[in-house]
Amino acid sequence: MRIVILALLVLSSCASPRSSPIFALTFSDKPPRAAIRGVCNGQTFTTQGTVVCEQKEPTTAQISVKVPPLEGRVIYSNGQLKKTDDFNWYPAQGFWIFKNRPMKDTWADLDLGTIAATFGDWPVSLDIAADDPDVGVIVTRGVLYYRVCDDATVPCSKLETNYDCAGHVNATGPAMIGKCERLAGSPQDLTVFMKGQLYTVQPGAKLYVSIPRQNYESAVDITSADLASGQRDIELPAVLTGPTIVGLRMSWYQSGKIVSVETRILIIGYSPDWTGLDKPHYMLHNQTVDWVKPTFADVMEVDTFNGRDTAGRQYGKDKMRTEPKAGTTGPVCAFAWQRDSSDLSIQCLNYQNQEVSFP
Amino acid sequence: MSGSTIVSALGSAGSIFASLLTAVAGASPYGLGAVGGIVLLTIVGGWIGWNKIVSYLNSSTDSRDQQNAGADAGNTSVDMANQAGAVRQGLDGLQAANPPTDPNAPKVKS
Repeated sequence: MRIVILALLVLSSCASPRSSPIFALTFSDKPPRAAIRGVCNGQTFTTQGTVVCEQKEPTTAQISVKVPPLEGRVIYSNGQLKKTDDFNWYPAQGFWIFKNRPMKDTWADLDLGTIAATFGDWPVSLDIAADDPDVGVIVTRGVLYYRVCDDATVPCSKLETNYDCAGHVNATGPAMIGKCERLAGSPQDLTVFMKGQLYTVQPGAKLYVSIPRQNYESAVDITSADLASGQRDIELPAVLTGPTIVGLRMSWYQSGKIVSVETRILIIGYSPDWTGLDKPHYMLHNQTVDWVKPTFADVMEVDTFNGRDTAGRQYGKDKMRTEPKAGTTGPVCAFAWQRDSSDLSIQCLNYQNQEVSFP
Repeated sequence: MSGSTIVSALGSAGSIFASLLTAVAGASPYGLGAVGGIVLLTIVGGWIGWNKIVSYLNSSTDSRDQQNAGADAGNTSVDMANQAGAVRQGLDGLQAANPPTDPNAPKVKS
């Protein structure tokens, strides 16, 4: 009897979730990892972490974010407004609701109004906070930088550059501003081209670089050697943690008037201490796919892009199995989240079980 | 009520609960030995008290995480909006202070 009483008492206290303490996190030093879907210049895109877009006309914002299979909320701000929208499980019907409506797919539409109702810059920051009963609040971040230009007060981007970004070479060009998520603490290399699709730099030109966040300003003389080689390499100061907007302008005289071409690059630095997740693993068995949660991930979801159903609530499982439904040819993606890193990792397979980029 | 007060109260509640259990067990005809009962029930009561403390700490951590997420969203967007305006002013100022050279401008004799 004594043993039974003791066992009951101990088990009852052990049954409470999270029996070891956790510590609060700050998110500003973590990279943006949210999956974001939007429209830029009429083209739908899907990306992860950061979105940059330049367009010539204000439009209604069409931006969605992937939410985990947990209850939580999306907090978003464009620098002037701040909103909170919840996503909840509705057990009576067995589906997810967002803004009082059932979610038809795995994405939550944000209500952000009009992108830059006049002209200018339109930055948006969002945090998706989901409540996991086992590990606590899982937050994934997202950053958007839209720019509506008019070639008068707000020049449209034309300057062409290449820049290193975490092992890849990214570019800016006509109607294309740059973005990069990378480790903070080391310099940023950049190559500016003397001839682009819409310009040819003339002798006597100067390159201007402005990074207000770092109190960095530079006016670089473009030499005849630069013009001969067709490019000028510059090194920007060590990247800080968080978002930094770099402004670049090349100006020269042409027919007695100053001509300028510009661009912007949004660099988001994150702490070298940060360590993310591996992608979800998979094993193929003909048309069946067994998905395995990455090491240290807290939540995994497999989504067939045919609508969220009760399978989406199988959080905390280490393994899931998907089989193609008859008549469907869409991709299947596995998503994994982790609280400590605020990371979201994604692995997608097409109908032939080939790895594909995010749909 | 401050967080430390609540934690302290929860810890005390755990100890009181342990004492009550000790008293009950000591009076039980099934008879835990006095010392054994005190040790056993103090452990159990302490364990329950610790879980209450952990539960409180975790819920306050969840609350702080949510607040931090909201603060991050607002602060980041405001910071970026300010940077965007400052970049434009910075480029204009740089060009005004260091204009490009006009190679066709008439040369002034020194």
